[in-house]
Amino acid sequence: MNSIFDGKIRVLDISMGWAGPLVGQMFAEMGADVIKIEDSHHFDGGAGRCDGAAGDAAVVERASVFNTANRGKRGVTLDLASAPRNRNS
Amino acid sequence: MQGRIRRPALRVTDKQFEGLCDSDGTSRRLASDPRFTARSTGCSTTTRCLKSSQRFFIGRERRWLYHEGQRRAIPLVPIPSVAEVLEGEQTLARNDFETIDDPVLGKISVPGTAAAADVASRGSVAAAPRLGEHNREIFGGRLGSAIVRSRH
Repeated sequence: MNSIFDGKIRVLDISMGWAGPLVGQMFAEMGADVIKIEDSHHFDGGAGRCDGAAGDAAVVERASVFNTANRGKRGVTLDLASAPRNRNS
Repeated sequence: MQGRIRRPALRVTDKQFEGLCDSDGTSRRLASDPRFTARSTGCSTTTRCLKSSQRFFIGRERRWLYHEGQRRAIPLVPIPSVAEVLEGEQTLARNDFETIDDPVLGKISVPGTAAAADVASRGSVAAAPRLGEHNREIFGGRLGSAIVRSRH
């Protein structure tokens, strides 16, 4: 049996925190290709990626909320603070 | 397992408060204490009330607390531990938690899907992406490798 979207739609997820990413995760679980976009200078939720660190592993990537609300997605970083370059320059 | 107070707060009606005091001989006097009779909900933050309640709950089994609460119309319900939730019959039957293969943590248990649709099967459950994990795959494939080299 195929999933609802079966990879036929692509979702760009620029949300942060909990509610928005959770919606994206639902899309992913229904078979959409969800790409999570994070600012390379300001990660999702700031502390959202950095809470609940345990052991000697890196602090980043250990947040339970982040890992719960973003599974099933692909992730990229973009420099969202810089102005777009002029294509003709 | 004995009762415990995780959060020292009581929000009950006057009648429920009287029932709670009546079920505990040591705090029965609180029901007639003029400081609490006017507005019983106000006692939730008083040290004396909390200490008395703590003594009451700590010394009793959860099952007893539940049944006595039901009998006296006091909203006392057991709060299961994390382990009890994870191993609960309903939790297992509904797949409330799933095991995923996390690249950093290994196999971990995470909350299952918040909304399930029975018209389609779910895809594989992958871990959340690492920071910029798919930059090369997506930017390289869609925008050209030059962008990948210049920024990452």
